[in-house]
Amino acid sequence: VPEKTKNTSVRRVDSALLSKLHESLRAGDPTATARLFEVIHRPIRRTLRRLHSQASEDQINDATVDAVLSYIKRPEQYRPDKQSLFSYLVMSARGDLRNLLARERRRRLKEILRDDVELLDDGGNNDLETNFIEPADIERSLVNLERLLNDPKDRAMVRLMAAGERSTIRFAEALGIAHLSVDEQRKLVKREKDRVKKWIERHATDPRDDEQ
Amino acid sequence: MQRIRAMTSSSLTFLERAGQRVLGDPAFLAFWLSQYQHTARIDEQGLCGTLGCGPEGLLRLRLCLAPTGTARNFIEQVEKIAEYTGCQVDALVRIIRLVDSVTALKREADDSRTLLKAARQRYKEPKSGAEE
Repeated sequence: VPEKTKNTSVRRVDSALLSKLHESLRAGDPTATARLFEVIHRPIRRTLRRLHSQASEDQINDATVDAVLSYIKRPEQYRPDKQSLFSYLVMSARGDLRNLLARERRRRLKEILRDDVELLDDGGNNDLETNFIEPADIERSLVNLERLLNDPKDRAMVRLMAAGERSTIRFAEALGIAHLSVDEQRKLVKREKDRVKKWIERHATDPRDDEQ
Repeated sequence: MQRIRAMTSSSLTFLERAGQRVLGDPAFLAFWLSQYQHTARIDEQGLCGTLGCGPEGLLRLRLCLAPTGTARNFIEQVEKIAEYTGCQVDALVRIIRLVDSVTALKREADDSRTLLKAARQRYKEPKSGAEE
């Protein structure tokens, strides 16, 4: 965490108030939960937005709610002598947000691979799709993708596809063919996307990738 | 401890979302208020009217922990909640008591149904056994 960001966030949080709320929660004050939500949500969301600019507002909100609820359910897990409550909640929310982002990445990759299945439709044989829905395989494959793709253009293509990009011009820019006519761009982008999709299918679904 | 102040629209949206997340959790008042709304067949505006608080007070209320009916300091807890959210103590006590009673009645009815089903089952078993 950049020092500047860290300090800015901490300065805006009343740590004395958070300590009091922690004590109130442990003492059974029924309003401590609502007060905590009210006091803490903005600083946490602001910090998450800075650190995870790719996350949507919904994902940030969900991660914040998850972190605060986990803490409310088990306040004894927070150790005031180790860190501030704000840092504890931010750390927890970042973990939740990473999980949400990973889930979203897997969903997007599945979409890409499903598109590929449609392209490679072999008349009812859905063995490929069966392989695709294993999250562990897909997660492993995502790690492998970065490692295995040598061509920066391919890496850019995969990044755009995983981000759900649909615009031809963005792909054309990544491929360095933005100067061509729109029709030519479409044709080439489709060809390259198909090639990359086939490559992903091969590398994202084969568990033996890890053994190689 | 914390001064009640007007909320921004992003705060309202967030607290609304957080309140939705705990609707099914009896540890939070959101659950009890939702049960009451269902029983009394009233909307949020009606609920605010019953409680004597505004929409912001209702958002805070949902995120408060439910005071337990058996606790010695039940009224003390309700008073704390009322002070923080701006709702009326009597109204909140009535709602909690009502939902508690309805839940107990439902549980009893479910238990009776289970017993009745078990009794029917036991009554049928020897008969079907005799036929074999």
